[in-house]
Amino acid sequence: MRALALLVALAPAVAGAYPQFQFQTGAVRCNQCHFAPAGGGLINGYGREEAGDTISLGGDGSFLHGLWTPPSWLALGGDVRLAGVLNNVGADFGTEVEAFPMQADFYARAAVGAFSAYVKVGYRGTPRSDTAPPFSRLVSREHTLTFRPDPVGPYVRVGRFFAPYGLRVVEHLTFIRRYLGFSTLEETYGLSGGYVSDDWELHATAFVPSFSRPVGYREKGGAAYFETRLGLAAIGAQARAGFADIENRLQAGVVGKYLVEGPNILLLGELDVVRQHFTDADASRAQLVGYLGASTFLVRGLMAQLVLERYDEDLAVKGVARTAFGASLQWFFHAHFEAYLYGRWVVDGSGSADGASSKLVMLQVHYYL
Amino acid sequence: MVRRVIAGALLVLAYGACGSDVDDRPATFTYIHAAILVPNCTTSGCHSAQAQIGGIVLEQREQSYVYLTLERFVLPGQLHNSPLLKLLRGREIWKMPPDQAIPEADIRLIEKWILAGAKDD
Repeated sequence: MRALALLVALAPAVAGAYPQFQFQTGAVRCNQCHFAPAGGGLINGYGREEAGDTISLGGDGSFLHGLWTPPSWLALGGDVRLAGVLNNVGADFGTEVEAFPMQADFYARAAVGAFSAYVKVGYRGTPRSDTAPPFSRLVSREHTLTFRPDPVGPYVRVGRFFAPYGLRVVEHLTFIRRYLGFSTLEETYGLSGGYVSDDWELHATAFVPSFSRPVGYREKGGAAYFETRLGLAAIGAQARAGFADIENRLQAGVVGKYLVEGPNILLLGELDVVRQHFTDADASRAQLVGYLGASTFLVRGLMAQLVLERYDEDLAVKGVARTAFGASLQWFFHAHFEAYLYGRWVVDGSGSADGASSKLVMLQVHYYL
Repeated sequence: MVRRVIAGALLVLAYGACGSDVDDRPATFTYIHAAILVPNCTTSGCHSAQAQIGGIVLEQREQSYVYLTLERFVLPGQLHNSPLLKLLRGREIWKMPPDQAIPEADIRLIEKWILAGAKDD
């Protein structure tokens, strides 16, 4: 049971978004490597070339390693991750050791002119798997229809996807993913429009909860993200309003990205403030969520990253803040392959004596088609 | 420039330590469900209607209250015997949530509610 709980708790919601690659690899906008207007998910031809020629130590980044090339109107891909974890959340039982399949997602995109259809289908873990029919465990976290005449320029997208907001880091455990409405399976249905250029991009989205499988607060509302790039730096601002039966949440924040050229270190930062009102309880709280990361390619194919995070779930109450320290090494030893070693230490309670801590060490092996 | 950005960010992140020592949040199930259980237990697909890990769904307030009390995860007035508290602290059993702990201050708020009779308030 614990393994199943861990499987669901640690499974990535959107694997495939690596903002750490921005600027460091020469790409200035996310959709240089991804089909999606705001990045994430299936990578395009340029992204596959970069994966093989720039990021990995070698190999052919093409679909199926170049053994078969889909017709030009069709793009296919997939992500498979296996994970092993040492997990200690301060329980009497000590450290758990688990290994499990973490992700199996497959992507297809068909395009005709400026129109494209995209679907991502995966398999989710559930303890009901013994009795539930296998197809009930299939989940499509993303499926969209997009009108985009050109990768640079305006676009309109409708379907199921996360509204572009802040840094879209891959690890959903990060506070900016987990507590701001972007955790696993929380993808909403939305209508999004925007404009993407080399110098700036703007995304605006109206969203409602998933019709068939809502998760979390089940908010409907809107979100916007704007990012402008100044040489090897970018500054972004975001806002989101969500309205649900039990609460309303207004949040806004800023994003900063800066490539320190000499040592080639990319600094990523995000800070959000949240005002949440609980309707039935007639109570409100203000929250603060922050992320500060530094990443660099030590050598080609090997990326190191340090992260400091902060989540204060109620600024008026002492002892409910959490601080996380993270470190990771990502080894792209061959095109399509990644070995990912990730450590995370979360301390709660503002350093109080009774504060608990959580420690996680995870080793992932990731293969993309 | 970089140093100033980092120093500013650390200052803002450290701001969270400045909350009040007095926790005047309402110790009611309505608040606890919306402010603690939903963001910590139903996200990541765990105790959502979709995933139902362990057959437990905590997304809806009424459903959560009925489950926690009828299944005796919460025993009114009994802090030492309520399995929910043991789960949240990882005492004699595994700990929930399994990926990152709930702050002690939140657990103490739940204790206040249990001590007051674990009412459907």
